[in-house]
Amino acid sequence: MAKTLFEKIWDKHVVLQEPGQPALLYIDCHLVHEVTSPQAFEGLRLAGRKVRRSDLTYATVDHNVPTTDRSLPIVDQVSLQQINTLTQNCSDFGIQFFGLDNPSQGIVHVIGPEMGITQPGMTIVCGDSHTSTHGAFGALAFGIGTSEVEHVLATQCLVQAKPRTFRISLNGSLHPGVTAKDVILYIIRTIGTAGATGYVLEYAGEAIRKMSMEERMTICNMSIEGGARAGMIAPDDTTFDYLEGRSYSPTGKRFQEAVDYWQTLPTDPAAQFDRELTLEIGDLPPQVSWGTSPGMVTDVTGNIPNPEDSSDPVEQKTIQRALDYMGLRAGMPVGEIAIDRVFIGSCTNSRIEDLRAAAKVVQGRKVSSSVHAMVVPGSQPVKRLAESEGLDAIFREAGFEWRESGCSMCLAMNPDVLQPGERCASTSNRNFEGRQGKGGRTHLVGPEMAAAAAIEGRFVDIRNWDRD
Amino acid sequence: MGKVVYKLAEDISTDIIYPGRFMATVLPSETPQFCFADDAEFNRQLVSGQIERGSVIVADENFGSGSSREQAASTLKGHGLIVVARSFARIFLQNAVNLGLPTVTCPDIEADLGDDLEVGPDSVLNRTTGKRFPVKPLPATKQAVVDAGGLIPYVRERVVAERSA
Repeated sequence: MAKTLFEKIWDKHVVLQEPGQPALLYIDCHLVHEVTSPQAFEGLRLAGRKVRRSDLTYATVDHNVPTTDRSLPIVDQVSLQQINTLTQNCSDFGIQFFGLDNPSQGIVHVIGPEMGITQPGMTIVCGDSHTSTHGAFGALAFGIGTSEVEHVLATQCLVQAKPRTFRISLNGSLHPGVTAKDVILYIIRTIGTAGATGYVLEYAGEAIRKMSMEERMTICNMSIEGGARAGMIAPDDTTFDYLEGRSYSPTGKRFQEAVDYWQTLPTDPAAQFDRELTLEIGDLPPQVSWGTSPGMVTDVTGNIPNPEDSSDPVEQKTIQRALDYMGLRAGMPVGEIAIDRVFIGSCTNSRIEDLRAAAKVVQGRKVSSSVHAMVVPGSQPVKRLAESEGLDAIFREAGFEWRESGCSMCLAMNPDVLQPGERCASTSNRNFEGRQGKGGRTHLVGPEMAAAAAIEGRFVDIRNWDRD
Repeated sequence: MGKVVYKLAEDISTDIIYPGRFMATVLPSETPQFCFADDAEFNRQLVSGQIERGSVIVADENFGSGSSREQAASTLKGHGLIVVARSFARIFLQNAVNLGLPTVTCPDIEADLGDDLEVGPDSVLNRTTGKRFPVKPLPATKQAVVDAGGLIPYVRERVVAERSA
């Protein structure tokens, strides 16, 4: 029977399936970070349990680590305690740990792929909603809560109801300067924040095939913002080329055997999806979020919505509330929005291609005097590579801060936060009220758009930017 | 019966329920103090004990969207709140089940602040307006987890039962 990519992986991982019940699913890879894991380890201790497959469990610190000079002691006592707790837990339970002093440390969704831990055909979970990122490799990857983290640590399995399948096909070639971030913002704008609830998304089409692994990760990363259980992309030569030679990838003959298997994973031509959507993205302009949910997005050339344009009283109220929080005037052009802060980073857009693209925009220019801008590389390897290419110097000379790797201002756990009323052009994934700090106002954009906004102090259409 | 003590729109994120800056706090005994922390007035009412246990939060679609932080469920459970929403985001709902937080999916719910609701397994009766709204029940497997008090107690019960069988 013809199967989708998702169905092939799902069927291969079902340990137990009773009629009418959810399935018990085997988990190939469990990623752990300092914030959603302490209670799970404590639960194991109280029950006298071990980690069932410590060899399939990998941990790092990212959510609450300082992004300032690592040669200095950590001032934030809470952060220090979380880091120490995870260090101890990994030591006690025999888990591979990429701590602050490890050269591979970084955002969990950046380092998994970077080290080749993430591979096609796997089931991957992590106590973090952006685990969907790993689906870019043709893995089934999704976020779980802390109770489930404990369950997976103890059993390497998880109870899951089988989701439905939803394929989004993307046709056309993107205009230079328009990025994977703009595509996923446009998708969420189109389907809505609950548009893929109950589904696993598969992204397909010529536009996806042309994308690099990093661009595919940006797309899959924000699947959760459309309500999806997971987002997936079929593995192809781009995937295999990316994985070859990485530290956890198979080597030699075993790599070829793995590729042979991975090549069987793509959706069969005759397979049926529960839902299909085709989008033309050839004329897509850069996207900017204007409101307080990732579905509230418009073109950079567009205007802020006017509640009166909607005939639905509920929608009118929703728009008005978002405008009030964001401090925006109905109908104003996006290009008139002045910004105070710029954040380039997060598991969505902190990889080397993101930094290269942003550096190209700022090279030889200066950050606007009214803007405070920072770059937070996704991992230590990304940071080192960027520095070897001189990107750090480009950013610093332009007036950006160049930080150490971590989640930073994406979720405002550490001191990297917006002040009330501050407006930020951010390459992160969520523009919820209070997400980047109480009263902070977030506009989600791609890395080049964020970089240009830092220079101009307002949003500009990156398609008109002179990159020399 | 429970009184509606908080009425919310759609897409209420876990950043609103439990802001990120308090995420270092994980113990269910400690998370309740930061419940809806950015709404100072409602948080004060909760923390000062003015709101009775068994009170109801009513929300529109997609309650609990965003981050997987389990504190968003434990903070509500700590105050004994019941959430009645038109729909829930997946990870939040799973966390609620895993912690034994009562959630009620009621696709057509209409209720205002101060209304008295009678929450039953099949329907929610708004006693103030007299209107009754059907409930979309949790799957039996999830309800069994809620009834056991959460995922970890549920699995422990089953393992013990199987070993002694």
